[in-house]
Amino acid sequence: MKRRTFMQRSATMATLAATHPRWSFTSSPVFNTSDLCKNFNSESVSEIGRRAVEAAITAGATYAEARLGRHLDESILLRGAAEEERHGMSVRAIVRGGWGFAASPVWTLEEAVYLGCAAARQAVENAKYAPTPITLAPTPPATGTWKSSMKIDPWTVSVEEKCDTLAKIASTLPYRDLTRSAKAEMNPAGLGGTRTEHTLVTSEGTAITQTLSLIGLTVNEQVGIDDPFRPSEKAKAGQLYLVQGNGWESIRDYDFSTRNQHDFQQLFASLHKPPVQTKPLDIGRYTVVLGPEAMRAILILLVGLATDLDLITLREMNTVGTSYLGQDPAAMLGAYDFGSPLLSVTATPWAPDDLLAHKWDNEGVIPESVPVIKHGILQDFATTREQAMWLEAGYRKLGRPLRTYGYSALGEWDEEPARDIPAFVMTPSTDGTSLADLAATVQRGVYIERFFIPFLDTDPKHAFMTDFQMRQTVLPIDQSQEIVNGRLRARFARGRALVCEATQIWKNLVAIGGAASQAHGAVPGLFKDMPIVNPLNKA
Amino acid sequence: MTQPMTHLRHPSVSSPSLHNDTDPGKRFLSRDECRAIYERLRACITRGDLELAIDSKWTGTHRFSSNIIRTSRDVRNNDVEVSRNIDDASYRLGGNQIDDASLRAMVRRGERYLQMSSEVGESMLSHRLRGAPEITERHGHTLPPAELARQRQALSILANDEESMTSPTLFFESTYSMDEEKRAAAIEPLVAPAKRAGLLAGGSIEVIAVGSAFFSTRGSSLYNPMTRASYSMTVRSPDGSASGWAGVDWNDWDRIDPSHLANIALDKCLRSKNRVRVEPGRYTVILEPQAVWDLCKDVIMLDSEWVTTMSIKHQQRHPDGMDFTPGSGTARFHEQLFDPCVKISQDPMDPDCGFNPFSGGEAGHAVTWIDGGALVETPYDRQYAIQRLHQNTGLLNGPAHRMHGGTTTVDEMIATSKRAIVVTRLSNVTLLDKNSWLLQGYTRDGTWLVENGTITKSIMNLKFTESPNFVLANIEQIGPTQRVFSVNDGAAGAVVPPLKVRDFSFTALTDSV
Repeated sequence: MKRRTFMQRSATMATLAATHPRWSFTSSPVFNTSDLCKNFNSESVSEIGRRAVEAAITAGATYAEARLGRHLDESILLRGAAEEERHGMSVRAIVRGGWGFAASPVWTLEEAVYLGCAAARQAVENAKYAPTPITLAPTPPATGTWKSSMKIDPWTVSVEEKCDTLAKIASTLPYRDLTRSAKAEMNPAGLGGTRTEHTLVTSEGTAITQTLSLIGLTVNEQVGIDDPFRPSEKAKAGQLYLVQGNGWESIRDYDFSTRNQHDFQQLFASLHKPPVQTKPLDIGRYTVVLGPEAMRAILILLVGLATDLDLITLREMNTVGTSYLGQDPAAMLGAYDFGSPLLSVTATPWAPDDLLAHKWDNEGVIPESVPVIKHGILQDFATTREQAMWLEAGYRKLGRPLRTYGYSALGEWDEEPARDIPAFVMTPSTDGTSLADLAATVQRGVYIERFFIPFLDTDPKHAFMTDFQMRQTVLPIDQSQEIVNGRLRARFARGRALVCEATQIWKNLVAIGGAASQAHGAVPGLFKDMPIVNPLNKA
Repeated sequence: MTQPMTHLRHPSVSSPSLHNDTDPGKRFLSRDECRAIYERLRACITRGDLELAIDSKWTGTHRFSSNIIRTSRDVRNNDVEVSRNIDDASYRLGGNQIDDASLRAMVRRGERYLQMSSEVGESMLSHRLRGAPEITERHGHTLPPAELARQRQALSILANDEESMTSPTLFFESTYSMDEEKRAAAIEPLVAPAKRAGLLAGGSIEVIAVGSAFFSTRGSSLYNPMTRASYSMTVRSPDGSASGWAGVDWNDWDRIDPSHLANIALDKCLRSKNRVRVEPGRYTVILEPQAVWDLCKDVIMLDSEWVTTMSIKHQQRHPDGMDFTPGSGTARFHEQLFDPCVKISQDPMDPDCGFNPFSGGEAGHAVTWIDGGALVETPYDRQYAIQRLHQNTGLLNGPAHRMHGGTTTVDEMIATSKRAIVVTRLSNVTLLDKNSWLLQGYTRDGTWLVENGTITKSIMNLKFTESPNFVLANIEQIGPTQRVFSVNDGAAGAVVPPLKVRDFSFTALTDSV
């Protein structure tokens, strides 16, 4: 499941909670959630997948893969619950070097055969117009099953227990006192759970099933968070995650009598900070220190998106756009210079605390870290199996083996596999430079702690803070401070943005922080001569 | 590196015990099939109201880039929504399965849901659900008896009096017949001219067929099939110095002229070469219809947030609103917001942008939202219409809109301009400030400078910071309407004119192609 999908589902739950603001649950009949969903035997599911693959091969495919996906969503509020189950199957096949893809919500052997043949039929048509046959980077067949780390599967817990737990937690929340004092409207807690099952069967012998489970306890509040890019407007709703985990134990064992209250008050306070005295930031060019969180945002947009091979090879030219890096990724290997030897970046499949981590990617490959940039020079790309082949000439020239690193996003069953956006880790300096050390070298400048970028973590391709070639990025500043004579001083008011020219920004990087300053996978950086503008100014 | 699947040549063929009523390969459900599902579902329940909404959908897509077909897909899916209302409790559940076991599971979940609701002695209010139980208080204050009476009357009418629906023809065999073979074959001739010119073409053809159904125990039996075809294409020079685009969507594939569009994209690319820099600033702009849509779609689609932030809160007209005080929040209702030539309307029977005439059992009607540059109507649902306006029908904001045009062609706009910028389309448009609806974004795929009545130069792309409110109030000329590419914007169709607008704000240059 993509992060985006989970976030969207969480938002749905938040909406449900907001729609039903009053609550006083007493008890409910005992039902296991799993009783309410059709029980599929995993062998049967795999058999359907095998049949689909076999049909495609029989129809002439040299390679075929079937994906069967099943998604269960549950939202429990104290006055009720909502559930949804969706499942389906897709087949992707290569015939004569062309791709075909067919999908449907029906899980039957007959449908499997139909989809296998349909995918092959499409591939035959497409191959007529594809001069270069599609090939895939080699990978050993994967077999087995994998589940999110959990002691108690949330889908085996009765709704009654979930509701009782929720009621108990909610009864301890001090939201009434807090909301009265803050003049905010606080809605009660809700439980949201998502479970996705992904089965992959390929003609190369891969047969895997992965089950991802996520459950969270949320509180919705109705006043909202300041939006620094729209200073005159407040978002109408916010959501606080009190706790998230893979298993029911993360909710059941949550100490809501003490820790929960403390966390809750902390979270509430973070959304309702008293106004801080700020001063306006004049537009102009500044020496800028970016904190780790701000640096991470730039890495996602200017390295993460820009190194997406679909963008580089013009495959998304008609939609999202292209990349400022160029069009020939094989030639970039070991050659493209970002402009600063201080910049070394490794792509990783997910952050260490990512609850959506899983064993295999969407092509049955175990993901590995990729050194993307070393001392400013582009080294490699996080790829899918097909994308890896586009680098074959470059790998050969450099004497490196042809391989994929397993970055096919674990997506929905009706979506063609696409590259996942990795997490990025920036290599710190070896000299132990701290954030304070960086600021200490600045006579007059700006420390930027955080930008405000909607969708940065869920759907960065549509963050739209950058143009369609990622050459120019305008990043609204959320939290920033004045630097005077090497020390952090007054906070600046919001309403300004940092302009980053992709081909120039790393040339302006003067120093970076050491290991101790690393956070969010990034280290702070000192940039010279960076333009800060008022994004709301018209010509 | 692919390997033959020798190990799967002779697999075990024992049948898993899975059953589904759908025929393999069936693209979408017919009226009779939807009704049969409704009858099966109805047989599972013993009392209360039942509503069933089904969208069964088939999508066929071909994508190409660098003059080569890259991917194609053929996807079917269902969106099934079951709503029930028993006494004072209601629920809504969703899924994509239509077999008996799944339908029974949905009913069972719902029954559990209702049991939970009855235990707490409160009703579950489903947002905008027809037949929703009455609301007896707002903001903690009990509604006055007259208000309650009006509400009860409205609920009674809603429960017993179905609206009449129009029947637009939205299904076209020309679109439905675009299978993978035809789609693939259609791409080659579109790409060929670009290939011959040494350029790179990328784009997509997508066809959709949807069967939308709504059935209820109150007697609704609605079904409407619809098709939609879209085609768009970018042509770019290999060195990344020039780019052109064209695209459109229609319900009927036969109304798309792909070759013509391919030639437009190619021509724009060729004319985009040798771009020069112009200084950012305020310019008269000639926005082609696609650029007008990209910039003004929130206004044209009557985006609810846009309506709200224009202070046209119409709370007294909104059934789920927070305020029953007549007259509040209507400061700009009927005020002159835009140039008098601005008129925006919808009509499910519009031959150029019709739409499915029902949503959740409620009828969509022909409405003029903006007329003479003033907002003259805002959307409200039927319950509110009955309750507050003593009308039997609401005004549903449909998914397809027409912005009415004039007679001045783009060529005439150019010929009458001393200095202006022609814009093909806009990209990466994002909202900066809600109060003024200030947007930022970039020109893309063909931008030119007009001097003394003729296009003199291809120019580099520009970043703009501008509001559609300002643009629609500063129109100099308006041209004949045309259908635009709106399929990615959540619209069922849009018809939009080109505009010549004064004092448009460009704030920066960009090197992007």
